[in-house]
Amino acid sequence: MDAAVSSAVDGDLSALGSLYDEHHVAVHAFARRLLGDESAWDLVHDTFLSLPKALRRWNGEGALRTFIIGVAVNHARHHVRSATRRRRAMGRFALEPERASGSPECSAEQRRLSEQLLRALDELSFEQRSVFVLCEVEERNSREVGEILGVPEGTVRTRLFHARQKLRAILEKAGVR
Amino acid sequence: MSDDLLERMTAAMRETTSAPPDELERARQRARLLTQARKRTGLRPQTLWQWAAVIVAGFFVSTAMAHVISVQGPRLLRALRSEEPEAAPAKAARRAKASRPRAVPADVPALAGAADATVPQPPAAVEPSAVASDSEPVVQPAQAQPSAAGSVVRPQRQASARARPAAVKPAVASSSEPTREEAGAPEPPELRLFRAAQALHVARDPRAIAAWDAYLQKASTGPLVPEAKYNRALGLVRAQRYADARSALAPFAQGAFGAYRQREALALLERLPE
Repeated sequence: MDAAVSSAVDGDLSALGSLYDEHHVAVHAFARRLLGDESAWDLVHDTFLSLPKALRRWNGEGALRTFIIGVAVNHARHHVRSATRRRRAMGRFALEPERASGSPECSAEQRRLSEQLLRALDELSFEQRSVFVLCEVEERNSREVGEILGVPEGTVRTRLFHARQKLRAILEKAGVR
Repeated sequence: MSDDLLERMTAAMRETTSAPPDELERARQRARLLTQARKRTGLRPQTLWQWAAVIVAGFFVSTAMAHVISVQGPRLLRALRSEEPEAAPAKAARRAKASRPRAVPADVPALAGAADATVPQPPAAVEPSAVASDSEPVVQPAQAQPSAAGSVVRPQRQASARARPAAVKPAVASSSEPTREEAGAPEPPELRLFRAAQALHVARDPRAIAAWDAYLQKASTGPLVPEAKYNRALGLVRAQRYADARSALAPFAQGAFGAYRQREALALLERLPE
């Protein structure tokens, strides 16, 4: 096991800071994809805050980043609910803030598509949503996603299949082209 | 709706969210995390154990302090309040201890044939009138015992002063006069009983036995109890209740109270009629 991991488990804050420096970009990107920009940092915060305790049950098998993403997924459930509620409320009042997303080279069209997908993801169950983000957006294989979510690969593939189907229906219904 | 659109949307999301977060925001969030983690680390189980250990240690220390204060506190208070440093009980006890060999036989001179030269020699036979002689209450055990209240010692000193003015300073206050301690705080009931019994004992009143019994019933333990028991035994001797006196003096003779009054009790037991 990594020395930083064992130190973080013992409550060493500098070790936790090292883990944060090493992995927060990946966790933040995953959080943005799963929740949107507004709640992303909250999820990153919760993930790393609970990491020392969570790492006690990490046996050292698999990649540490995969484990950390798994911790983030566990924390994401209630963040998803609140983020979805907020987006719906903002949508009702047409107050959706301008996203300060990404790099300047991201085109407006890309941002529009991304936001539409995020709204469509709000209609999925948490399980389907997380599988879609991990498999399709983050391009992880089903074995890795199964490891993150703690479910068999077959379940991952099934969830992904249903998530795609549902998304197509939602986007079609919304008239997205 | 084609799969191509869904793929384009997915790719768009991937690209728009793949940029690393703003450096300033990243640093701010890192500081927030470490602050929160520091607070949380303060409540780790190990730390909780440490706190528990500190609390338990504090409890024991405070208990020990309370015990010490309850034992030594009255002495210290008396020493602090007293205008005359000589009134410190420790000194008084030392003084009494030093004077005990000469003073003690005077308590029951008629019975204690082993009394030293400073005490008038008692008659050979045990006579109640001899037991009740004027020179009897020279130095009461209260002077030898660490007393819980200085006011108890004062009448004894007065009596002692009558017998041996050179040995002990004359007391200023009589037993009926309120002392500073009395004026400051209400007297404990057992101390009041002790004072009453002591007054009867000094006055050779036969009711002293009942008074000592009342005190001993109220205060079964305490620094004045041995003195009360010994005085009660003397009262029994005076009342010619020799069998009761024997059983009352036996613990002193056997050293149940250490060396306190042991020699005198032995001498008394030898002289007591069957």
